[in-house]
Amino acid sequence: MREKLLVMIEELCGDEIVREDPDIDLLEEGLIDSLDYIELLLKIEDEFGLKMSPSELTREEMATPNRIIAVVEKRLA
Amino acid sequence: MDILRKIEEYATAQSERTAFRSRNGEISYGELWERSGRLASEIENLMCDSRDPVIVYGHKDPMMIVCFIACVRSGRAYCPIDINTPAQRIAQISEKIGKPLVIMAEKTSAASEIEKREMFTGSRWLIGYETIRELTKSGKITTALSPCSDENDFYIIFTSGTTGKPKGVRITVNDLNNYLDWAMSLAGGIEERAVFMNQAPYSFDLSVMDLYLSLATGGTVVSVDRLLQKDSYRLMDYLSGQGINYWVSTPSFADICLAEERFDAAFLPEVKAFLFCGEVLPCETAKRLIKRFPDSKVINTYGPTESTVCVTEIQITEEMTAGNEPLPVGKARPGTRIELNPETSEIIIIGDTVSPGYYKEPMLTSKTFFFMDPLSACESAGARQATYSGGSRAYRTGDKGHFDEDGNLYCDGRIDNQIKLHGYRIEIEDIEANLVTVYGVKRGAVAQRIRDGRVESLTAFVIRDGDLITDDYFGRKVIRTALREKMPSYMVPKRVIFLDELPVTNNGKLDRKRLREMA
Repeated sequence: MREKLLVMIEELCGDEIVREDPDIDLLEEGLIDSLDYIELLLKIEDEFGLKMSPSELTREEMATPNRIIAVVEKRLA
Repeated sequence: MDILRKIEEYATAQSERTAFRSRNGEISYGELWERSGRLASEIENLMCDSRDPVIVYGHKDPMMIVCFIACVRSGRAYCPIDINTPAQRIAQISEKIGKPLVIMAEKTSAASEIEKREMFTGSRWLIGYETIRELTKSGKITTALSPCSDENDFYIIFTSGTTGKPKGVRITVNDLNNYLDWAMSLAGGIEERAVFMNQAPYSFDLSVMDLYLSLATGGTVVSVDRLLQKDSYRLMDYLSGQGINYWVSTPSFADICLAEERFDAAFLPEVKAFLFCGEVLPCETAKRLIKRFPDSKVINTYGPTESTVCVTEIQITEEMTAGNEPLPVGKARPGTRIELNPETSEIIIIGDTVSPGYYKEPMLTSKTFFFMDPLSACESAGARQATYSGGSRAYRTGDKGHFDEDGNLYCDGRIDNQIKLHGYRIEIEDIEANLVTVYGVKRGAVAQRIRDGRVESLTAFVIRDGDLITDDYFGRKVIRTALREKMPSYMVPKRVIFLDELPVTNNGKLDRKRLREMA
């Protein structure tokens, strides 16, 4: 699942740095904007059947690839 | 339709009614008329004989609307510049107008005001936000006003140009009034005193649809600022209490809202219609909206800034979305005729809402604008002449199109390198012209990445100039960051790929098709 999520995030950000440095702050580095973010949530729903509304998540919780993976793993557990 | 007179009438008939509301505050019809009159008088005193357009710089403050109306009442067009426009673009626009009067219509901190003022160093006068508020509250009307009329420009909106510099589309009073006469019939007829949701910034002509339709029908505009658009939770809370009747946005913005599960008819029970313009309406978006809002109409429209917002309309039904096929954009409004170039399938718009051209760009204007004799035009257009009723300005859109057997128009992409990304109109060459000015870039090209027939994102291909920038994340970041300072963020390519050489065709030209595959 980690791999699938990384592929998704890399696809959305358009830069392989998210794989090289999964603790990179996506927002701060300008790698993701609000539209990409919505798209990511939709893709997670499609792929894992996990529904997440943007409003129930804080920016901090979803700031880095590693944190996104942690949130998804926790919710699916 | 005489939009200025209409606003004046509503200012008398319903002076207390809110004309515009955002998180920055609200303004009534009475106040809008009074305050814009005072400011118009001040503009007249400052500008004397000059009829140059006035730059209104701001975002979603009620003062924006006051300034727009004030300019036009003083007999000068306004040129809206959104606060998210980078300094370099602002300088280019300012230079094109030449020592303009600049009005700051957005509340900013003192420090940031000084910074903002520096962006307009070439301006003749600059009026700050607090001064505007004071002037419009207690200023005196000292001169007789001669408002813009007929063929005077009403507004000038700058859009992406192929040379790397933006070009200003002139829209006249007649263009806007003719457009409004028809737009009031959208969605089966716009009801009086309704509530309109505004999403687009005022530097994007989609905003003309909600603002002037609302002012023409005594309605209220509820304007959603950029920060709020980025915060789904607050956005939903804000929208839910507003009693929105007409939703005007790009399809991309509807997609953001649809990601919220509570976004449905129970949540916004008063929505009569969703009005879309500015980019291709994806079938999926329409389908989901119809499902969540079974009693609201989903309206698709089409038109470039050069012909005043839009010139076609169609209601999207559930059946149309069943096959996941591209959606039609509908039939031309009365007063507009649409022809296709038989060789290229390029859509040509002829009619009474076509712009007279680009501001101070006679060469550029003559490339895409021309006059069409209505009679011979009708003959060559064969059966498609029914809706034509006068006016002879014509514009080559650069969009490809075809008609179906019912006479509905479909858009099939571009004949050139202009694209639409999330509703924004972008010339690929504009980005490229800026890309090659970035330190460390020797050559560069840009291509769009297409998914499901829709532009998803942009990719920049870069040949580095020696090792001035590194061939890794930092090099890519340097390029993206440099571009953000030169152009609006929606134009900055998401991907940066370093190449040793750019692909060329057999003729030795840049191989754009290959680039799109590589994107």
